Amino acid sequence: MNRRSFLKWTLAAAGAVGLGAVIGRYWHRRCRVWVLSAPDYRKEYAKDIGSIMLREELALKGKNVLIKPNFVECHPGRPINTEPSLIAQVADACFRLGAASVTVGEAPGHRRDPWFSIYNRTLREALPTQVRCIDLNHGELVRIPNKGWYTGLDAFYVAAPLARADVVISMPKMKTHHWMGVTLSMKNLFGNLPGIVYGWPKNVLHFRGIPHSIVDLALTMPPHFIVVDGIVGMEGDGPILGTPKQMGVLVLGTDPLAVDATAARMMGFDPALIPYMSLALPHLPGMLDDMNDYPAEHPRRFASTFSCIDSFKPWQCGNYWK
Amino acid sequence: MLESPRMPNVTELWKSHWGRLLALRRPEGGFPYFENGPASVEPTIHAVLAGLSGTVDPTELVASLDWLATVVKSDGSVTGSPAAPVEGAWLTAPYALVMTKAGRTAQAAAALAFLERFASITVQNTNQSELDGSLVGWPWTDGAFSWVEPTAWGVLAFEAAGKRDAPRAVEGRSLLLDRQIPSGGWNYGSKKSFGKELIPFPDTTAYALMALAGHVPAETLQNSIGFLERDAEAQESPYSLALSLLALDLCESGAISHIRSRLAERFDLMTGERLNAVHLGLALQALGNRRVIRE
Repeated sequence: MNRRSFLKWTLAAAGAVGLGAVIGRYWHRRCRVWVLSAPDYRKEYAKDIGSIMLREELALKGKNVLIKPNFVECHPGRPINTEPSLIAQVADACFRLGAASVTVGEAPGHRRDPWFSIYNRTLREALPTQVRCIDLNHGELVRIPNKGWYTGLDAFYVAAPLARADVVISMPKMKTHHWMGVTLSMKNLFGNLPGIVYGWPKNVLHFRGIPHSIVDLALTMPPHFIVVDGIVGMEGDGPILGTPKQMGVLVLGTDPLAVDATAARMMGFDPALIPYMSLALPHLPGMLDDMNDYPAEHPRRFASTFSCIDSFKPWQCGNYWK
Repeated sequence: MLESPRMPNVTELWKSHWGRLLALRRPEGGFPYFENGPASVEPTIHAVLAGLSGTVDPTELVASLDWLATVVKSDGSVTGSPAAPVEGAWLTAPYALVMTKAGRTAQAAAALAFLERFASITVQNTNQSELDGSLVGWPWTDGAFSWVEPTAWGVLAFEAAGKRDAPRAVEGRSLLLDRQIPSGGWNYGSKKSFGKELIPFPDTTAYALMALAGHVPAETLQNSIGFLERDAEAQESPYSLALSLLALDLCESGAISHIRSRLAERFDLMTGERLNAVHLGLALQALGNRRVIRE
């Protein structure tokens, strides 16, 4: 992002936040964001996750569930991907709540070769055998009309297993992102789109505007439930080249903007300055902290400041809740 | 089928996996990406190329070539799937190549005419990425930037048609050279991000080497050949191994015998949801007894 576009986005964000704050306060409903202390990947979280799914009235009995992690390429020592053991725990929670099937699917934009991502041995070995791992970059396509208008695209194409899933659970990793500041559940929607249509990387979405594409996707195919893996996040030059950041937290909910804005604050970013969040503000509930309820832990307990590339330091606000 | 001079003792293996690939074919002649899926352009292209590499009876390929001819658009292009009629025009290059190889010259010529017009956008040069954004190659989809794999396919399609010196092919090769990571290999299309050298990938490196081998001084490619040889030593992916073998064979690498053995051992990984017809087709091309993508 160059200086001109940075200034443009900052001004646009400020304007949108002003208008959106009014809309958000009087129009949008309140949102619940569940923040769970999760010190490491060895602990059992499936029961707690299942309880929250029940509290959120996520109907899984007899349903086909697709879990969409952030699983784009494997490099030992780099927390690029949603942790396989955590994906396994969410799959377990789904089965406990009566899901007929659970599939893990991903369409990485960084790697065409699925043996580096969704077919990777570390993921396969962590999951129960009845959970399938499928490559969403290739295969049968389904056209879904675009419910947004920012990209100008009439429709999005997705792989059939995603379109046909009854319930989609997004499992992003809590990471910085060298184009968007942060990557969370809404940016994770890029991984819904097949490379055979959009390429590697999904360059056409970049040209349509990354924030525009994210908001159109969030309006068109929002996930039904979100579990952000913030046990170990990534700071610095994310989403690939950054370094581990111990956070010890899971962030869950049904509202993508509420979950993302909360997680961004926990990372030390002001969501109002993150282009895709400010663009989403008039459309989706959850941007305003005082319109969100935190029935489990309060996010202030986990407030931190992720290091990031210089361009995004002005988007950081330190401890939002201090 | 004769014993393969390129890979002794693999004829039976090749035949049995060719049979597995054929079993995926849909009644209309096209191949799906995955078992029971709809016929799609890319797997059909790679199935036909696999057949051509193994000298199967040409009549076995007619239905698939006929199906490919039904999905071509009036401008000579094809897209990723009949379900997505606009996006994914990058597949026109491998389509042109397979039609050339199969002797369907009218369709190949129409596709090449489309490829002459189908061009990536250019961008201003910046210090951030350290690439020459003025060079024109091929994008994945209309209105986008140039990337390594579609550009390599464009170059290979022109070469297959005997047009290796066409201006677009020449510029495509320049673009690929420009995007080569200094320490070896190719990422998707950039070599650096925010001053840091990117990680090379075996699949894109293999495509770029196939497009460039023999056209540039050998020493220009040595780091990339070395990367691919080292990567193949521990590579688990049959897809990346197949592409590496195809490229290193063209580059006359001394490592190919070992890679052939490793690839032959990994055919059985391609089962169930991990049986992608493109991957199987490429693996068969790599172990076939004749070079097809580039002779």
